[in-house]
Amino acid sequence: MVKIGSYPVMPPVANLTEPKAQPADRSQSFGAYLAQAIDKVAADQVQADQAARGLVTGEIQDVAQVMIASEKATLSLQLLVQVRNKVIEAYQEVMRMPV
Amino acid sequence: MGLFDSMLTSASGLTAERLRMDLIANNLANANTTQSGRVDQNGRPLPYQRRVAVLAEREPADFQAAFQAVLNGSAGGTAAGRAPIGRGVRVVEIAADNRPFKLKYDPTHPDADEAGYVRLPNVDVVTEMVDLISASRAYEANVTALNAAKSMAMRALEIGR
Amino acid sequence: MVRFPPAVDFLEQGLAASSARHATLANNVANVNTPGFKRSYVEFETLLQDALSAGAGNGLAGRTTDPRHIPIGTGSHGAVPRIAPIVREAQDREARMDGNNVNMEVEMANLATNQLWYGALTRQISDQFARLRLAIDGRR
Repeated sequence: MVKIGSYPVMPPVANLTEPKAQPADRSQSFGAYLAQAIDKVAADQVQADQAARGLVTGEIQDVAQVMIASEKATLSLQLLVQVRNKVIEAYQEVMRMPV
Repeated sequence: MGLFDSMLTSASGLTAERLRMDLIANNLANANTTQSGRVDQNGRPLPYQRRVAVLAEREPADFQAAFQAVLNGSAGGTAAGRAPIGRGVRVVEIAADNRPFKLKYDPTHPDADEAGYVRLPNVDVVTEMVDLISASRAYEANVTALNAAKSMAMRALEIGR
Repeated sequence: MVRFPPAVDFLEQGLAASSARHATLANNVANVNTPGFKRSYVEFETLLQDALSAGAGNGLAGRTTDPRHIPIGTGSHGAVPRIAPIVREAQDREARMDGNNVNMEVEMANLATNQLWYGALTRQISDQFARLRLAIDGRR
């Protein structure tokens, strides 16, 4: 007969705590997040402009680098514009609600 | 000078090289022609004389304006060593090669002189073939330049589209 | 009315230089068999770099009246200098017997490089305009 006591058993679960509902992480307000995003988009534009300038002066020989910087700038600007559109739409939706 | 003018430059190169090839073809065809229709001072028939094209750079369209542009400096450059952009190549003349004719000993030839020598054209087949390859290579290079200008202009048309 | 970024000005000048370079290369190629002909080349990039390093630090930056404005112009790379490309004749000592110093292979390689450079510049200008168009008309 095998003795149950010799099997490795799980330690008692006294250390587990109940998952409690936490309030949302409020380290950043939406306004601060948006400002950061706009700064990033502006930085991308400047990067792309500098890459284009490097292409003209011959400092940058790698055309792919310039193309990638340019595409990044375009995409981040596109994303920002779409976010702005959605925010305006949402605002207009809210204003349309009958009180 | 823009891309359109540069296409004319390439066209001038094509024309010049084609003329060279025509002359080479004519030289080769007449490599053994003992009678060219002309006679020398003794009345004996002269053989075909090798013909060669003399090439020179084309002058800028408005030489005065180009000269002035060279004299006047512009930001960042010294006047010395500047040049206007050339407009290609032109054939100055089709000259006859005045090197002596080849002499071949063949008394049975109808055009042999009293000593039995026949004067043959001063055409060297090997030289003509080398010139032909050079002209043909230059022709292709001009075609490449012309195509490059065309594709660049078409890319410019797509700006903003 | 639109404040175009200085990059557009740079790219435009680059395109002019590329055009002049192609014309020069085409002339070199057309005259590859002309006795006594000396090849020419276009000087532009070195002139532009010199002008930029000389004028660094007194650049134009768009005036922002509110901290939330997106800055236009980097402000530390100098106003855009206007550089005209210069065509020079190369007095190479290596020349063929007829005095012609055009190296066909080098000219063809430069032709290809210049063509690609021109294409890259046109793409960059198109992208600049596309971004401006995006900002102006954002409902796409």
